[in-house]
Amino acid sequence: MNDNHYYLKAMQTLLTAKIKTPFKVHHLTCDGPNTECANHLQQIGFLPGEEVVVQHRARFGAGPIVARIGASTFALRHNEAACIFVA
Amino acid sequence: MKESIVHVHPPGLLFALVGNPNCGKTALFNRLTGSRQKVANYAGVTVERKEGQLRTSSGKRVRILDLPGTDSLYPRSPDERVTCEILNGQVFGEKIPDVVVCVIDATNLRRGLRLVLGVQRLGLPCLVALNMSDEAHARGIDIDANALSKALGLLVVPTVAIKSAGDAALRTAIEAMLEDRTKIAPIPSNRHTKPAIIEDHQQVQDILTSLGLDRVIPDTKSERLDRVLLHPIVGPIILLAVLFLIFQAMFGWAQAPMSWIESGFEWLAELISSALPDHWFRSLLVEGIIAGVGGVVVFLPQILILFFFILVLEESGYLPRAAYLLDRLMGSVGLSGRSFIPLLSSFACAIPGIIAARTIPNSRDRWVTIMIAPLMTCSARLPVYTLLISAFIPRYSTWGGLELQGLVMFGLYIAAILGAMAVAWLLKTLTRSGRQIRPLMMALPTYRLPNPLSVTIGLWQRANIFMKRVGGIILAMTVGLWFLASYPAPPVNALVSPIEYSYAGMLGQWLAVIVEPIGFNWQIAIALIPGMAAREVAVSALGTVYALSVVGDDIDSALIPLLAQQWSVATGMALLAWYVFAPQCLATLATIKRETGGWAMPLAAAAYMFVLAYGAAWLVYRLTPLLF
Repeated sequence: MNDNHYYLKAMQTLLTAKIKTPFKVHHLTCDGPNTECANHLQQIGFLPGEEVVVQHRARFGAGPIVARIGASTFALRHNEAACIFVA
Repeated sequence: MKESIVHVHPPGLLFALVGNPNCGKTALFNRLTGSRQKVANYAGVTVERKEGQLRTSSGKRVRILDLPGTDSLYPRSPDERVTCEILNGQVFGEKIPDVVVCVIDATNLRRGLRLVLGVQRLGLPCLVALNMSDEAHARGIDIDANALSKALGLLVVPTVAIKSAGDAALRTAIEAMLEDRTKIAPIPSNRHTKPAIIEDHQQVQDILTSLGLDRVIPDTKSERLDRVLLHPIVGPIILLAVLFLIFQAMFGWAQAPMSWIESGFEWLAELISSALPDHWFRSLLVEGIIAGVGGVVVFLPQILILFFFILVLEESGYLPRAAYLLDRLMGSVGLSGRSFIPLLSSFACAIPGIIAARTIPNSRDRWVTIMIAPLMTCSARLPVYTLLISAFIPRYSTWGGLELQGLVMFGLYIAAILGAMAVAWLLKTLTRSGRQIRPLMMALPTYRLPNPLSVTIGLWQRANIFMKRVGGIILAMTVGLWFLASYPAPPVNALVSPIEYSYAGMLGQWLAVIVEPIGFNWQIAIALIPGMAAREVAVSALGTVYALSVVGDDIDSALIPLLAQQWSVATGMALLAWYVFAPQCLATLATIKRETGGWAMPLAAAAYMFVLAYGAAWLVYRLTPLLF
């Protein structure tokens, strides 16, 4: 886990990833009470190595983001997007 | 001693359609079995298992199950659980499918293949239907079915569920399996190995690489549309404009056909009145059935216009986008965008809306959605609204050609939505679980042009359902009310209208004490009771009650001018306010009981809606005189 520490810091999540730019999913980590979240995200296709693009993000406030993963498009809330680390 | 197994399920081979949400399982099911199950362009249209029969060319029958879509065999919501339980043989009265037909969306192979591997691991014989293969081809995705078949070790057949004969290859495969059961794919060797999402992912990746399908092909058409429709400022404006257009159309377009139906019934009433002698039977036909049923049938054009828009929106793929746009708003009252589609369905009827709430993974979100779904303005309220608006709101166009009546109708819908949000907000503040963050993770499908044929079929089905209600429950309630309102017959030297001597008249006058504070007269009190069976019945009941209230033979068959003359504006408005909130539908309460498995929810729903309705009507009745 310590080896990864450096990368974790340098990596960003879908929440902050630049819009309309392809990234690769690196790993998923969910904090807080909703531990099921990472599992569900994996089931709908957010898996390591997959290409992901953030297509829309509300300019202000806490509206959900729209992300394209593989050939699917999903709307994700902020806490969900924050689980997905990309590089 | 040998024990015999008791088969509780029908004999014959059972094929089950399994696949990701919105990959076209139901369209394929309809194609195979000749059924007409509802199809639309969003995830979670099918929430129950549906059974149909396929007849092969040699006349044999096979049972086909259509199952709710799922992304994995670890269910998140009640609808996904249905699929998993069938595949695991945990459903009483149904066997494990003999063959699983894995339906995969050819434009999204990756997602589909992960599920195929999961099903294979369950140890069930399966074959793959590569659906939407035409759309994949059009987008430049060419899949070599033979190579895919070799890579998976399964039979792969291309299908186009929305085209006639688009299921030919699948039919041939099923027929071949019937002729020769050894053709049913043998149980794979990796049976019952531990589920491993990452390993599956790797295997899918390898298959895609070997087929040369590894690159991601963007869906440029949908992306371009989303740039406008999901725009943070333009998007909500378009959504509001679309909703507004629907209400304007409901009033603007429906006028002509409504007046045709009205004059048709008037003509019929006159014909019968002149042909038959004055007899109880004539009264039943003219004052009971024609005044009652005719009063409801008039609203068919409006209901069809509403459904036309709902069907077009459902097929286009816009609905989940609307849910996305409203997610923040829904989040502020403790719900997620996922509740949007069940709530929108409730605008047609709360019953399918409450059932559609099965797609909501979070159980608290689900029950809150079920509680507020009956507040959404269902199409059965439409006749009541139109009747009262036509009677009390002047018909003129305001600025920009907007119809005032359409505007008021829009206002009633908004009032219901605000009421529902207020209830959800209260539940959020009062319960601890309400303050947790809700999951969304909602798929936004590819935009598609609505298919005119399926919209037409959908409208036809709606018209059918409505006419069956008219011919069934509405007719029965109308005849029952006519009887109660006509007997006992009045004395010869009656001073007031005959209905006041009848059972219904007596009951109405007794109930009038309760509803008097909210401005209702005894005629309304009578009409509200049969209205419990179906909301529209209140309109037919008013038609019957007023047709029988008239002294002498000055019967005006048109209810609208009669109400305008008999009621104060305050009464009319109070009844509108009552109908926005009232728990006026027993079928809805029964559905809530079934879906939540107890009496607590339906009783709570009925109680809070009654309080809201009584309060709103009381307030409106007091406030209206101050405004006019």
